[in-house]
Amino acid sequence: MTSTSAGAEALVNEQVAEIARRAARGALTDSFSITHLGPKFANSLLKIALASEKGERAFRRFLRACINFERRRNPVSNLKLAVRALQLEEVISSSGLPAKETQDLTSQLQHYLRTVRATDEASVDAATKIVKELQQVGSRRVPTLLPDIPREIAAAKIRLAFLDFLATLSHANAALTGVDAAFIVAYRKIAKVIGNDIGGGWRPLINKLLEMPEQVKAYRAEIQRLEAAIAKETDPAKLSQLRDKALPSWRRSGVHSQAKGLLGELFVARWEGWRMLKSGYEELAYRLARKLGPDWEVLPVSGRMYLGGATKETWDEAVLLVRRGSTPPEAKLFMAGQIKTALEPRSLDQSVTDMAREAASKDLRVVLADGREELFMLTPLPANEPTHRVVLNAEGGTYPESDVAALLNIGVKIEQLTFPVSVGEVNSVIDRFIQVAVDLL
Amino acid sequence: MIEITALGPADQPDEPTRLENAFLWCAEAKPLSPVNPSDDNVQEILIFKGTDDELLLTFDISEEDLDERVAGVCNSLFVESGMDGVSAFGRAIADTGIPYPYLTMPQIPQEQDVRGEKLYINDAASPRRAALKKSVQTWYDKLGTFREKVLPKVQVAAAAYASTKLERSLDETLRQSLRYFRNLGPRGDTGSGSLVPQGTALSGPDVTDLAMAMQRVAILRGDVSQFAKAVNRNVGLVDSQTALIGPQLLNAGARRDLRALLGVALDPDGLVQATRGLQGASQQFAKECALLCRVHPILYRLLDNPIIFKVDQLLRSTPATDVQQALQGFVPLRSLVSTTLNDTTSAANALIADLRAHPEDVWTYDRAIEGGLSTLHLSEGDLAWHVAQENIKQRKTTTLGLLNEGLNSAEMVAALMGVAPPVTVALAAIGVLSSVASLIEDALTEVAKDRALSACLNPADSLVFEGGSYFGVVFGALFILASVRGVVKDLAKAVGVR
Repeated sequence: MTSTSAGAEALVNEQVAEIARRAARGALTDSFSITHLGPKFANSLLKIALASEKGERAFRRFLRACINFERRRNPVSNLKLAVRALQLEEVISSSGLPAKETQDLTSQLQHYLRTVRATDEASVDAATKIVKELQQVGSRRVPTLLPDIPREIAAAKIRLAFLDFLATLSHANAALTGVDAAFIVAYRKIAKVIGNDIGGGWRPLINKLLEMPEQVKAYRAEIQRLEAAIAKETDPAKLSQLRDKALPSWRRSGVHSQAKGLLGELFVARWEGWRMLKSGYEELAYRLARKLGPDWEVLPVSGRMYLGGATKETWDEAVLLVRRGSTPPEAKLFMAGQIKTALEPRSLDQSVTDMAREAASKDLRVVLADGREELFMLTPLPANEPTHRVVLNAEGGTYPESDVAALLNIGVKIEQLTFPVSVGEVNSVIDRFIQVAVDLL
Repeated sequence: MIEITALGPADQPDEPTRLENAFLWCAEAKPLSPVNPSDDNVQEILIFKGTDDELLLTFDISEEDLDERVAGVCNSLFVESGMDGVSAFGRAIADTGIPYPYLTMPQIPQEQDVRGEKLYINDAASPRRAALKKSVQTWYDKLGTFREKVLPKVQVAAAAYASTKLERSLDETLRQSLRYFRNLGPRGDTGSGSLVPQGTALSGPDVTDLAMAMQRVAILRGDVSQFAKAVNRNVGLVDSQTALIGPQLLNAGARRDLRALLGVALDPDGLVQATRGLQGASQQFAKECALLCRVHPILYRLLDNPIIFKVDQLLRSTPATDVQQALQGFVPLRSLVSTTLNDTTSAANALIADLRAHPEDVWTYDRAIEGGLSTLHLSEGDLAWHVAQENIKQRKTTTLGLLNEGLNSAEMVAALMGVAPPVTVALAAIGVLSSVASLIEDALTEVAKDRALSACLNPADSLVFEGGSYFGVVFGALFILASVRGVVKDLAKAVGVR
């Protein structure tokens, strides 16, 4: 091959890489968060990682050090994390990014290190200082994007306490009870999907607990009281009443059920099975969008959708067809998904309620991944294209087929899917999470 | 209407989440708080001296849990830097201060600037270092025992994973054959010994849809070629009109400095538009083909085949009402589809039999091992994961390995992002490693020789690549981009002979 053709080939190779890079960058938008490396942070970091092999190596090694630190939290992993962060900083500063972006990124990295290792007041002070710097650097940013320091630190402490708790269970000579072992299995299963601290996977759950400290404390106290009562009870009739009714019903109420629902949603949103299936629905929606006209787009959404001014979320997962150009902007519900993490799932009832709501109310408010809100008017799909409805149940919570068939009789088709984690496993993880967090709230 | 299940995830093998496997996840050292030893008991060890990774560790020799503390250090080093990290620790403990111990002339030991014993002399003369040495040895022994327990577990899980995958491939091939050949028995025609007997007419319900998908591929490829030619024309144009810009252009291209190139020299030129067009067309090509291949997995095997254009021709020259008839009698398509299905089935069956006879061979398929590790809920942060990685026979030094590395890298990015846009991020991560297109092509040449690849219709489902359907899509897109590569090659050739 001549050098001329090699040059041209390199050029096109580069184009292929460029397509991928640009697409990757475009796809990375999410809200700002720094107790973990939020996607916004990831965006800048990814730029570094994609710029050179050196950058990629530094980035990977840093991530590995983060994982090692989370798992072991000993002096070696601690030092390694610091060293890797330093090396990453060097790459950042020599990357040729604009000075402002470099400084911003470096400050964020330092803040991440502070919060990820936060255990004392000094860390809080240091983190506050860094955020002040951040504020100066990014003074033109929307103020709401800046972190709430006490909250970041509180979240980091809960996360660290949980990691410490895991470490005490996972050493080789730990005397595991059956409950502990079951918990570890459950945690492993769920963490594999939700990811680790770096991705901020558990953050929404921590946020939830931080939102309602009093309820969490009351919940924990009552659970302890019931457990103690069960342990002391000798009368078999009372015992079975306590064990089969009182404890489960208390669990179903309030804190535990909310946290459980949230964990189920977090799991499903990141579970590759659902991601694949949802992308399938998206592809089908594109086909329909093409038929509807050139100004129709496909909008996949997870969580945060509200109908008719309600404060309660409607569907957990959705694929919408939207037309932003029309007045008012229009949306059609192509696919609606409900996630249920309960032994006696009521998601079919929920789906029916949703349908009633869809019929009654036309105002749809959607909170996008980057925190922006959009309002749409909900309009029906073409007559021969019914909305796809999917119910995602945790293992052990499947709805009887007869109920699905009954709905089919009134013209509603519902697909049932089971996601690979059981209600008991979710319970076990939530219990431990609350147990660890309660003292820190 | 497409069956939505065709787009969905395939079943995963049963997860061996059993309590008896708990030891896999409980191999860590006891968590201990930092020590603050007195001068009588302190021993500092400096590892990776003089490098970026220099690390100073403090030990209290009188500590009851010294073994556990050292084990914690070793675990961290093992996970961060493999056995090399632990060896470096061992060497630092037993540092005699003599850089070239094989020299016969006397040398002055170089003392370490650490608290505690400056050097290791021998066990009696340097008891603190000796104690640490012993603790490291204890860790080695424990790791050996752990390894003996881990490897069989992983092998069983990996074999189960591999066989589930291959069985799934058999099911898939059967399902696909029923779509294109109506009159097959429940397991094909066993009499002829092949899934689709020779001469069976293309009469299944989805033949027309397949043909139309092929036509779409042909059209998309046409678009890509057209833009590639335009790029080619414009490269020539710049070169002949301005003697300076031409060589600059190609030099910049050779330096992969495309952005600078487009920004400075060529903004006013048609090349910009053409390259944008080529990018757009390639992207569209990859995206649409990815969906078409999900609906018709057999297309993965036919994308690069000239049959695409023949089918396009046939559809163009046949009135819509006669298409079904014409396709039924179209021998080239019939024989290609049946051969592909039959070959895939035999390859999968052969591999299943081989793995059953020699389960230890599963260690040559690193993706099967990783699939097994994943079903055991093990990941890069775990000791067991690293122990298993060490045992994989085929090291990641090949191009294919690099591609897998790229996918791993993408996985880390995905972890970082929480919910990652899979295809784009993965492609981007792979883009870092080398020039993408040639990397993919080399990898495909490599895997083409691998029978594990021929055992599946969708190469992404093979044992050669990442297990999950998630990265399957990524690989699907790579496979498709490799088809664009054909166009790239034509372009290079055209420029070369100009």
